[in-house]
Amino acid sequence: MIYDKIILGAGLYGLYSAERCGARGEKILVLERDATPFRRATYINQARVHQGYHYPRSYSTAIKSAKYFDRFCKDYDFCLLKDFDQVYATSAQFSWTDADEFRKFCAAAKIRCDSVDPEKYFQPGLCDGAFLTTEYTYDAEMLKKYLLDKLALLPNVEIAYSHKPESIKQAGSVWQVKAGDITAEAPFLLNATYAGVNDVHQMMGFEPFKIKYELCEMILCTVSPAFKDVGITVMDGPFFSIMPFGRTGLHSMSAVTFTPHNTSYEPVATFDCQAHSGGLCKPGDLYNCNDCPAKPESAWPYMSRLARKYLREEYGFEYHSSLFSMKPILKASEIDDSRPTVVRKFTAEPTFVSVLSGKINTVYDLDEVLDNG
Amino acid sequence: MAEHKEKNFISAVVYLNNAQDAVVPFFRTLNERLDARFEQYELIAVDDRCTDDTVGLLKEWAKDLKKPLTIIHMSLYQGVEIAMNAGLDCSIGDYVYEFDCPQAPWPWQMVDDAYDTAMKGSDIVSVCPDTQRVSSKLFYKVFNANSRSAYQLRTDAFRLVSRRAINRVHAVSARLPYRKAAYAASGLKMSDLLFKGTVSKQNEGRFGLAIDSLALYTDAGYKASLGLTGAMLVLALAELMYTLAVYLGGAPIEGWTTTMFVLTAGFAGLFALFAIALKYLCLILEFTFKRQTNLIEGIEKIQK
Repeated sequence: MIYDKIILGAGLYGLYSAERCGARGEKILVLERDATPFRRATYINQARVHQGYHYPRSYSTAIKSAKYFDRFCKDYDFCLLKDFDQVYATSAQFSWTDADEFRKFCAAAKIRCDSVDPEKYFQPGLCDGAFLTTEYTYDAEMLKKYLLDKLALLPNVEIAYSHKPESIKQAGSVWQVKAGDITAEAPFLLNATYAGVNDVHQMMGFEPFKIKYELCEMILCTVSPAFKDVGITVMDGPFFSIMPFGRTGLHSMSAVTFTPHNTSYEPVATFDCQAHSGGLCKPGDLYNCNDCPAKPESAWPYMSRLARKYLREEYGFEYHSSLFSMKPILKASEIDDSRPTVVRKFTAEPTFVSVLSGKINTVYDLDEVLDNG
Repeated sequence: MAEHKEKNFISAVVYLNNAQDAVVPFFRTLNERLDARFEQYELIAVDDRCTDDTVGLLKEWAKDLKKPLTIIHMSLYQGVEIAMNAGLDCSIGDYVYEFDCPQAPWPWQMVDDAYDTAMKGSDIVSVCPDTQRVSSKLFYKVFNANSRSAYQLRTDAFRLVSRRAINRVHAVSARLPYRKAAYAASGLKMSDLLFKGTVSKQNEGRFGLAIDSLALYTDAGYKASLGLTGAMLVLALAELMYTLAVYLGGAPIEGWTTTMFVLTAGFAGLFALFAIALKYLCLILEFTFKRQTNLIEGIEKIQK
């Protein structure tokens, strides 16, 4: 079959691209190795629609985030949870940024930052500043349903689940992709596989993105009534965050010191646990960590202790479940904490583009390459 | 067996300053003890600028450790109080063991005993040697005599504090220049457990700490200045009487030496008061303006 574009990965970036191009009549094939869409990073993350607060050490990322924030909120308003108090706090100890810095940063990035008494939320002495901010959380399930409904109206867009590309070859001016029973060709190939990005590069013989991999756990919690409409993020140092998880009624919890269970610095994700995955996962062929039989034990005892140390008793939370995912982090950005979107065009005629972004609302970075090739 | 283990999360903070011979045996035994008793715990080592192989040996040992070990590297040597405060800030446990040095002149059973005592309602449990050095004795004598707290302090080898106690002392003041005294002043229940023996001599810099602690946690400074004021008052009264006597006696210009004496003594007393006031001012200055309480180079997390 000949298509206009073949897209690898049915996460938000893949399906957004399929919808955008499909809507103007292009013939699109989406290949997804998992059995359903949105099974990895799009679902398994904090569901934060970034306004930029997260990056007090990188102004450029913050300003870009703020710009896309408005657009994302307009386009996907239906899946957002907006009416909760998103509290950012600076830890009194072990932090590289403090309350004054944060205030200055927000003023420069022109984003909301209203001081509140840290002791309203935190144990005395642990945070030197707390701020009410505007930040939303999206519901991945609702977003998925919306995109699938839109795509269902486009007969020119096909999505093949449980199809993992086995070979990708150039045949003249098109890419020829083999995935199970499908052999497809297109002059444009988009690699939107996130943590699998370098797996595809390796298969095609392209230079890998310079990334490290972190096997991360996100814990879903039920919370006490006082916590229901509150999201907490303690920045830097002993970073942790507990905030509403879309419109699910649950809160997501993560903590930097305990969330990454393991780190790999190889070009393709290489972990000890792969040996115990029963052949499902290996370097260059990354399986879904959340579905994997070799996923690590939960860090709940540690994460919960860290959060309880900071939070006042009335902000209670209990374990609901754990979600695991592989997070690729661009190495060059390690120092200034920014996680920009990388959209790199490796070849033209046929076109091969890889995208890597850690944030949901920077999906618009794809527009240019999708529209102009 | 896991279901028999204690559910409370425990942190153990250990101060390290060039202790390459002691570090591994200490951590090994400590880890075995905690592992036998507690389901969840963490180890925190504060590396106060070790120049020997202490940290290297510790890391080597920690390779097979199941529980997390955090190593806090201080930027420069800052002494046990500041370094241990950094360790304490980093700890997340419901209860925190504070070991000021990686030596155990006490029987290891005391680690369990301290926890048992805490479970009976003590927020702070100090494990103390039954013999103290002379200088320590003197310090604690002055301290306890002037202290505002309900509990008597003494030399201790290690202690166990609850998160409640840590929160309480932080609510009182952001900094803890002398942890022990801050805990004692917290108003929470404090218990002492005694063992036979002594503790090895602490590092230098204790004298300055002793003076600061007396000024901060006791009213010794206030009492001293009160005493001086009293003495000067007596002196002034005596001079008045003398002047009266000379006046009544009708004796002529004799008072040169006495006047001088009173003047110098008065000024001496005044200067002594200034010294005390200055001491307080220094402390206020430090508390108000020195916001960064410790300098940390980096934190390393070692965990499976």
